[in-house]
Amino acid sequence: MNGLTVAKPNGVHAPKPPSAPQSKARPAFASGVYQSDSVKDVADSLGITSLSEPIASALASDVEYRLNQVLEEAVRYMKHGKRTTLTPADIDLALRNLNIEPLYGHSPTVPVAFRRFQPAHGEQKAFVYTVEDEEIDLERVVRERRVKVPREIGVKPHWLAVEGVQPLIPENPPPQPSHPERASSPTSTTDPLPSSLPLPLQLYHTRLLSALLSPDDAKRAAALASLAADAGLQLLVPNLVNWVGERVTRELAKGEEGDAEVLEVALGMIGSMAKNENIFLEPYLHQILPPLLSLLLVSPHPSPALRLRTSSTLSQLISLYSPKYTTLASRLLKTLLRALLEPERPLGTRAGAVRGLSALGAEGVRRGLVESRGAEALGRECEEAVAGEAGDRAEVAELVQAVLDALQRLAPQLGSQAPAPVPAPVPVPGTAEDAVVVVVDGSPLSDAEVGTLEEVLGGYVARLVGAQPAWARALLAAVGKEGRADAAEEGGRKEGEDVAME
Amino acid sequence: MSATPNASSSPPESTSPAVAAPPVPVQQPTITPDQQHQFVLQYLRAKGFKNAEQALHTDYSLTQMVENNKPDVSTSAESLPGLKYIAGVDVQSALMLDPAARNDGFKELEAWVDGSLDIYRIEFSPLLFPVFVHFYLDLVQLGLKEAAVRFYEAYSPRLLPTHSATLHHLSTLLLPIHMTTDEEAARFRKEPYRLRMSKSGFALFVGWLTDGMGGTGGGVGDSFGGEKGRRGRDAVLRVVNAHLKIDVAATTSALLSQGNLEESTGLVSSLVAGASPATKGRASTSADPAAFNAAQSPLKLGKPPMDPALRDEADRLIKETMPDDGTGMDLDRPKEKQDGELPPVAPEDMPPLPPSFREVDVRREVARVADERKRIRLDPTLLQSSATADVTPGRRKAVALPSICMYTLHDVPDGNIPCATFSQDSSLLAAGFEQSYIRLWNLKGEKIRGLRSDFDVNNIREARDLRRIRDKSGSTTRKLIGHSAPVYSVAFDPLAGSAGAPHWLLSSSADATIRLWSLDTLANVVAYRGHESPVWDVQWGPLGTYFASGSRDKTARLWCTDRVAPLRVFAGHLSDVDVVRFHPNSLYLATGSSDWTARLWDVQRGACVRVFVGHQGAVTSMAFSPDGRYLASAADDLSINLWDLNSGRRIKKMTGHNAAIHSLSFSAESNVLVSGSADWTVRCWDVKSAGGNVAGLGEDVTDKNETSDLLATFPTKRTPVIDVQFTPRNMVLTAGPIQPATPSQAWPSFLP
Repeated sequence: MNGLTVAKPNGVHAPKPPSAPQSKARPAFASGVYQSDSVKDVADSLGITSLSEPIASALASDVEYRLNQVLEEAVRYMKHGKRTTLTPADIDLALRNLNIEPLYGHSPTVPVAFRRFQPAHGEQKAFVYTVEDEEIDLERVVRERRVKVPREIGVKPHWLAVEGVQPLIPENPPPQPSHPERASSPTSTTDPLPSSLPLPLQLYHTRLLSALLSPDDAKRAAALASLAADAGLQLLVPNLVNWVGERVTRELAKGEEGDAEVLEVALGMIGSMAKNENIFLEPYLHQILPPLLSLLLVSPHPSPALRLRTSSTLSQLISLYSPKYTTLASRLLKTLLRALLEPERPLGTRAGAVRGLSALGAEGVRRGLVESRGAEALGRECEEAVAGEAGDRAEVAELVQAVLDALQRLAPQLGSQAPAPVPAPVPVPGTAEDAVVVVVDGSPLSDAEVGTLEEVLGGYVARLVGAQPAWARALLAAVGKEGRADAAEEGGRKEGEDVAME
Repeated sequence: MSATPNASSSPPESTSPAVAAPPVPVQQPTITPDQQHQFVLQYLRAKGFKNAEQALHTDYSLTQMVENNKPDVSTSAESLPGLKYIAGVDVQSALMLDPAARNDGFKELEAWVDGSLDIYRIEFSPLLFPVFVHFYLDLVQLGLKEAAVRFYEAYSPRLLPTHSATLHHLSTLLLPIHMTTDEEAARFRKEPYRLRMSKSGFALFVGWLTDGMGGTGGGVGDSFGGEKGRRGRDAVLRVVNAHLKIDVAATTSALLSQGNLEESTGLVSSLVAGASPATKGRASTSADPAAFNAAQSPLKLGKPPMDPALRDEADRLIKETMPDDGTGMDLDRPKEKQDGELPPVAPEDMPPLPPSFREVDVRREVARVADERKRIRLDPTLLQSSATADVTPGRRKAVALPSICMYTLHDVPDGNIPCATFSQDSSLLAAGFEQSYIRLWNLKGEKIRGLRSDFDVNNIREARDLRRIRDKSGSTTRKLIGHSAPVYSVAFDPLAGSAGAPHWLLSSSADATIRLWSLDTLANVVAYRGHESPVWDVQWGPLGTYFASGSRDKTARLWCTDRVAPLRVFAGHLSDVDVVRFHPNSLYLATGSSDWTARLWDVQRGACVRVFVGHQGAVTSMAFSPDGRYLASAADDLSINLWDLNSGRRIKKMTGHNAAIHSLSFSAESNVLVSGSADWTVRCWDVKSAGGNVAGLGEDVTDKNETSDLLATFPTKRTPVIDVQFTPRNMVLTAGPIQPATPSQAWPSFLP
């Protein structure tokens, strides 16, 4: 065992396919990785030309054995390095330990690229692989100084498990989908409960879910009422929240074929849990909000009417938790604005976004529809849709209704043309007063007013709003009032409003 | 390369009595020049004449290679080239050299085993492996390389799933000269391969060997009875006589379970023979690990004794500082009431320790009691009886499973680290890197500050001066540089226990040194040299002062911090010592090795007192239970074995991991075992349950390799878990480097 056979940097033959026609000299059965041809090539390079086949083959076998010895040694280093890939460093250490001079010029950090070429004297299909030596222009290296400092190694702790339960945090992998065949069948709906739950609660859980999924409306209502009022359900909340999330995702994934009733139940559960004073829902908000937002924004939606209810549930949650959880509203706003303004979204998503914004209150609507020019963009999209296909009518109508409802948040519509929508506008201090002031003036809008309105809301929406001059003035007042504080340069609009005020 | 003298001549071992054997032919004359060479080489090596050695070696291997490969020159596959080497052997033996006979023999044996009844097949199938190995080695030894390779190709696939490592190694042997130097081959040639069979099974086997009948259905053996078949069986018979030792058990065959097979099949005799000089006489009579273990004296597994003065001092402090919390807990150490069965170790049995206790000892003992009181009790039985979980009348809260805190290392070059460990007070994390350095992190966010180098020792008089010469700056992490090769193990000293930060760190490396680092000065204090090869593992004794190391040179060594030479050398393993662990009372040392066994050594006598045979791969990790009764070991066969120390028996085998298991740790009550693995998971195991493979009715059994005592599996995102550790209060700390999302290209790109 010495440098003689192992340290051969000259080149290595790739094992030939066994069907190679010129393997007449060799036995039909090609054994091993290192072929006798390689030995012959090496001998050639050393000036030994008369190497008989048996000797070459014996040498090849021996080389292979020695290589394997080195490899087995190197694998030890790999294992203790807790790796599964062998590196040049392992080979280096192995050679050192076997008292063989290491191979220089290989480092674990520089990837080795091999170049393939045909030896001049060799047979037709034989290739030799060699390491390519890159030429380095030292001057350029010095000049460019592109030293990339690796990032410092850092340590970050997180809870992998808390008393045997893996918390759902970004550091941990998402939970395994439990048995796909079970998830797809609608009959077996019970999720595995942690067996540490007390027996009564487990029973309650199964009963509750079966009642919620029963076709009987009364049962469902009773279940929701129980969820909204009963005490001692805190332990079940993680499971219920999970259940809601899973169900909503699954039904929405089906597109329009999704079961609207299940979604309704899920929505109802969130509402009930939020209503229940004995349930502390705040830690689960991050799990509840995604399904809610999906309910709002997904399109095609199994039941577009559900967006309205979702919006009211969302506004319920916000009013409950935004005082404690201060970034809640701004986070939602960001998501909704993205849905509202990003190009290439279906109209249903837009409508959902508008509903969501109105759930955020007047501020949300102002930011979304007015300041970000949402209304203008939506108006344009509506016009395009109307001009294009007729199939989108329902969606356009929904979107328009959503926009009008949202604008009601800014200034309540006092006329009786449009039926008041479900989300009862929360009276915002300030706007209500303005509305009271403006309600007197029911005369048609002046040109200046129409111009301002179009500037604020875009042509399409402005026309819709302009049909009710009183409301339009109220809207302008609401927008203008809030805009005046920070944007003094919008003189033209203010002028128009001033006129209106008089 | 060790100078194994002529491993080829098969020793005429005592064989099973019932089978009559033809004389074993001696295949090669003894080569005396060979030995001479080896002696000269050894001499040169010992004297350090490297160049001369190299030159001689080169020269010698060349001549020998030519000599040994002569047969190959004149070989065609079907001729009998070995004949000239075995002049004077009768014709029948000469025929045995025909490779075709071995092919036929193995084919028939395979057919016979497969055709046997189900109840016998489980005890017959282990026959295939040794027969295969010996046939292959025979062919290689005869210089029939082509035939050997073809034989391997034809029959190895069936055996590969269970014996891949050994088979792969043997497949690299191609020339007769390889046989002489290879240890694995030498072991197969020299030692009897032990097998177990029931009486009736053995009778069937003998029947088949003699007349080709028995155990098979009709139609399988076309060539049975023919000349060809007889020659094949003779070849098998020869291997059986020369190399196999079949223990005929009186039990019925049904009792031979898989676990039994693992423990009693294979080259087990060398594992115990010569293991300890003291028991040599006995060991040679019974070459069975179980018998060896039974012959040893019982172990002292109790708690270590405590200095009475230290105990009084600690008790006083406990009463002062910790008010009785009204839970009725005794003021004295609570552990005393538990070990009714294990008597504490007598003070005279303990290794010598510092005569008087220090303040740190008192603080450690006080902290131990505090930990005992505040510990979260783990009780996996709660998982079964869920209804009673919250009504357990106990003074302390019990939970089924521990909380696990994972420390993920980011931006690690290449995405892997060889080792990591936490200090007992959970304040420090140390990791060894392949780039030869060690990195410390303070997990409390405090700065790690060393001493300045520019101070005058004469000016240091009191503690205040020491504080003054501390580095002003510092960060929460610090590199320790000193090793010159990958660092494979790091260990914090246990002296302060959970009462305070450790002061010392040990590290072992591929540069064959162990280094002691002071955590006060953040400098290397001592380099312990003694091992000849990479040191895979180093571990402190439970009381500090002593430490143990395991190395590639097949030894484990015991060291004392104040001496640079080892105190004991534990030799006996047949391959690398990969893991060393101290028994909690520091009387015993457990070592895990690449020879698939674990051993227990008496630290004082330096003798092997138990051998644990049963793993089917190199041992990768071990842990003692804190109560001192059990040893858990994990191996490359992806199983965790639980051993009873006193009897040396395997209690159970736990499976479920899908990749190498890097670390094991017991909870303080010894009832939960946690393992960390390269399959990116941490798993919890129930130590007390029976385990075993229980598939419930209607469950999918196909890919279920998990035993029933697997309590929970906690996957990480992409982090192989290098280290798991229970804190004294039963929380689990784990560490591992997160892998880059897209693995760097392992295979070099081929340019066109």
